[in-house]
Amino acid sequence: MSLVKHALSDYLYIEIVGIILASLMTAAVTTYVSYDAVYKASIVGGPITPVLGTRGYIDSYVREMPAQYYAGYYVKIKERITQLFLVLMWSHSMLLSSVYTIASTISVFPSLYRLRVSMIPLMFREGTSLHSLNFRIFLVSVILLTPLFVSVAVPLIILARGWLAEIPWDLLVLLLVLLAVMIFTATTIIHSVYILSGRLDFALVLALLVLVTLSQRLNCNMNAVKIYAGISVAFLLFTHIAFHKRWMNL
Amino acid sequence: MKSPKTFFVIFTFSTIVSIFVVFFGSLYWNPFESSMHAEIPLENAEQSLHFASVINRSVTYSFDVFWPLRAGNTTINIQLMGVECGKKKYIIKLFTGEGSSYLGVGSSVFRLKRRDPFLYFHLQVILTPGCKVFSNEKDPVVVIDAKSS
Repeated sequence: MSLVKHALSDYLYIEIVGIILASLMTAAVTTYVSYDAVYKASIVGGPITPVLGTRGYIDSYVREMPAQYYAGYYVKIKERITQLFLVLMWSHSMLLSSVYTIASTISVFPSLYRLRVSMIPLMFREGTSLHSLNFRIFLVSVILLTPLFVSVAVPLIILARGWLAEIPWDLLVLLLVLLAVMIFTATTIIHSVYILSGRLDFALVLALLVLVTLSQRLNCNMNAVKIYAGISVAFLLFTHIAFHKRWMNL
Repeated sequence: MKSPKTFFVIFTFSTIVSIFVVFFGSLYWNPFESSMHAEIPLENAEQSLHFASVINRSVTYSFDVFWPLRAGNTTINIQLMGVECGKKKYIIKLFTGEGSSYLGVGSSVFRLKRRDPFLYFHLQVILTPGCKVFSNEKDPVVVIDAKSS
């Protein structure tokens, strides 16, 4: 564990500013995209106001509905708007995935750099197993990402708090999980490629390529979450196997 | 710095920054407007009113109004232009999305408290048999002004 402590305690203020900048980027983009999506969804999903004219009825032909009927109808409208909100939010997935990738790179890179520099000497001195070392390094990356998860969740929750009061939150939770898994995947790719090859540019390009391609192919549902999680697990396993081979060579 | 302290600094500052960004960003990028205005023509009001007055019944115009409008206390101002009703005034019934209903006689003002970024209500404008349309070529219109603060 001293490796991890060493890496984090060496942080300079400029690197902390980098993480804060990353969470600022994430929050700004998420806020903009979510407000845009909910506005468009409310225009598409709501009933049409008859600004061109409405027909009248002689009184005996009108069937009066109780006030509860309109309340139920409004809940239906809001459910439709929520579904549209998800779709419209996901239509910005390319912007979201590229910004999240860059943000996670900014926030994770300093610790990765330090860990990689001091990895080989510490390995011989401490005699820890390589696998646990790899997992510890990855754990630090995930801990450093929590501010990003928070800045994704805050705008969505603040926006949806009003209109999701009566209808179930599961769609919003799905969106939150999907965005979080997206950040997680980006970090996994950057982490494993950087630890193995030591080249940030290569790691960034690969992460952008994978995430942008995936976000164009997938829809906003549980399947996408599974695919993202599967890809991150695959990258982690790949790093593990590569580590093992290298250890054998040494 | 020590590692827990570093992490504490990172977490606090980035949470504060992201909440600030969400606050100012939602003010700056909010596309929801704070006031809306609409004039909804009542089709064939003259014929319907004439026919209804013969059999002594009232004419009802009922429709949904849905706008993207900022949340907050909302004032809805509804009045009818182009119709003369004399002492027996027209009646306005307003059903909100929360399940409550309001009744207004003549041009009326309703005050609602809303949490959603959308304004939805169902409106019934009831023209009693005494009403007459001004002899214009235009149809009478319902003028709706909504203001959110």
